[in-house]
Amino acid sequence: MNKTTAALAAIILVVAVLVASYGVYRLYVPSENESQGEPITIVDATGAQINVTLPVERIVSLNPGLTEIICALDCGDRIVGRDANSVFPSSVSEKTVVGQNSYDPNLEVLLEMEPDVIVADSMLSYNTEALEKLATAGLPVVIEEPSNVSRVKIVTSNFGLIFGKEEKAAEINDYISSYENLVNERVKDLASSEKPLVYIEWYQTWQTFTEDSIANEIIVNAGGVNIAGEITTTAPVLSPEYVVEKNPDIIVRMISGDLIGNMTGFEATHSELMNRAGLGEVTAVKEGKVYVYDPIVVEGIRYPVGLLYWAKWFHPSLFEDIDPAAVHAELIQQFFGVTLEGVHTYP
Amino acid sequence: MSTATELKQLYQKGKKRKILAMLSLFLALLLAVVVSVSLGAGSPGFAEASKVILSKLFPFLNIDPGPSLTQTIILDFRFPRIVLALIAGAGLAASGATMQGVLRNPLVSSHILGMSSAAGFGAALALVLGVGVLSGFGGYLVIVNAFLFSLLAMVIVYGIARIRGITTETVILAGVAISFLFSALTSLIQYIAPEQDALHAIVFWLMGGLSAATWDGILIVFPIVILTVALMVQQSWNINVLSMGEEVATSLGVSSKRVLTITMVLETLATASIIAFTGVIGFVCLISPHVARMLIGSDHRFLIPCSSLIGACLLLCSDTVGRLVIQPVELPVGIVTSLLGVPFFIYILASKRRQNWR
Repeated sequence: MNKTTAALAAIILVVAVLVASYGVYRLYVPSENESQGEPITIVDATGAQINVTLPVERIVSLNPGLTEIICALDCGDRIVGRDANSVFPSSVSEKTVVGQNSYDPNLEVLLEMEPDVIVADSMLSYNTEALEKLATAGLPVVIEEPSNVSRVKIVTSNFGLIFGKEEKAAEINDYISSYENLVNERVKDLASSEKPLVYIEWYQTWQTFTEDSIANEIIVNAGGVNIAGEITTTAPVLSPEYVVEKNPDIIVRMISGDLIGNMTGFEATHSELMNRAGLGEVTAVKEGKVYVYDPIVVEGIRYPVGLLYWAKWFHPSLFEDIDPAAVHAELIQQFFGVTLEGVHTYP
Repeated sequence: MSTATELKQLYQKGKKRKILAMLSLFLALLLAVVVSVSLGAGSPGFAEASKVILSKLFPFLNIDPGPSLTQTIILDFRFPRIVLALIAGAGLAASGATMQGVLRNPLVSSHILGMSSAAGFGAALALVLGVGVLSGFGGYLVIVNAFLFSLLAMVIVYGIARIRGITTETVILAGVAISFLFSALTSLIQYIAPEQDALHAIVFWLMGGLSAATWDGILIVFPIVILTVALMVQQSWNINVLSMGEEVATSLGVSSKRVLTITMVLETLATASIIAFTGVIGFVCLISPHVARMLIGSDHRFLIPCSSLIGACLLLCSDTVGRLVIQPVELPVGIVTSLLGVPFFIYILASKRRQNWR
């Protein structure tokens, strides 16, 4: 082997290694986004900084509350994939379902939708495998808590920013704030003796919301006192003795998911509470102050509706001039352009 | 003195000891009831509770039952729960003792025989089909469904055992298979359940608990349990003979098939009606008979009632602890039963001197 052949072999080898490395690099490292859009950074509910490249034209939403916010921002037509529960407004129900809920999206279907951004609730945080795969695919994932009342306005602003709808977002947030302020103005000077004791019940008989729950926050905001407001266990079943001895002035009951939408379900839930053994002793039952609600009215963008309902239940005389059902209808008309249907509270 | 008389004396002595043991258990149970009724998240204590109960039991004594709130707490919340704990514990334990004897296997329980998982599936089905899960009219659908499915499980187990020829092994194996089948079906329902709420309700049901105790429920369960347990005790001679082995039983003129069929029907009725109301409460039916056996031996005439007393005591104590430990929040009884029962049971297993299972 003479020197020239050796040098040639060395060159070929180096080139081959370089080409192979480049190939490996192209295959294993996600390609940069081709479009020349400007990147924007937002912080989601988990505290993560997410870089989103504008413009965002294709959205996958894995939570009905987030879907509502997107549609209220007039971006419903940009949704290309949704979770099975995102069915309002009715225009989104035609979109492809990419998963039952945020926890378990079908990654293949989801990737085929070629989204620019994926928005989900915190259930997705528990599916670390899916999160890793989405990160590998270079897709920005925003994890939010749409039912957390202190996040609703932040989510709306963030979405407004990445969808280029800042003005609409500001309009929505002003709307929410106006009712928040209205309620706050009227209940803020109440003495603690004027605030009714509230027992709130959800899924299971005697199961309640405690200290750090969103429902507790709404009770406080609406000028009430939660009888379980100082318990730290999350979503515990209470001793019925405790409930009866606390003697709540108001009972608020979340309706079970399968009964939502029709009057019979609300009536049955209400009458079960009014006639439940042992509850007859309680002021709320004696005075007929037992209310059943559809959780949709306290979630996401509809939170002001729930707040008004609760405030009026807690302080009927202070909110005589307010008709929460009318506000609900107005909100649905204003932000979704449709007429409100169905039953959402009882009585 | 002849050997016969000696033997007789020995037997009489043993019998006295057994009766004494059961009497002390009964007193312990009474004490547990008194303590349970006096404790709770609410304020009424022993004095208030006894006034309420005495005034109800003996209205002619003119005892002042106290304020109506106290009456509500005692009569609507604490007492039904205690009574349901007693009935459920007694019924489950008696069923366990009977089936362990008949099938000659120390591991048999309603879990092993597939009844719990079938009941769980029945309840889950009703909860998902959701005819008003949480409101009054739907509650009974869940109960009825749980009951029917655990009956169905036993019918299937019995059917398989008949085809293969009834031996204790086929019954147990068929039970294990059915148990897996229904667990898988329940998981399937949970996986595809459309409603978050239904999922929640299923999880709660599977944990089991006595918080849903009402007098209506007790009125249904009580007669069934009393009757079936009495009939189990009536079968105890046959079970005694059977537990010596099939050959012995046949040579003594006891049809093992007949006894197996009768006791299975009794056990199914008792267990199914209990778990339909309480959800899956494991463990009581498994360990109570073992504790009883260590106390008084394996004569089923004593073993079945003694297991009932232990089961009632165990479930009541567990539930009371569950009510008190982080009050006003309640723990489901299933969790407490295992947390308290398992160390106790392991202690007994480790310290037992006699071999009760051959």
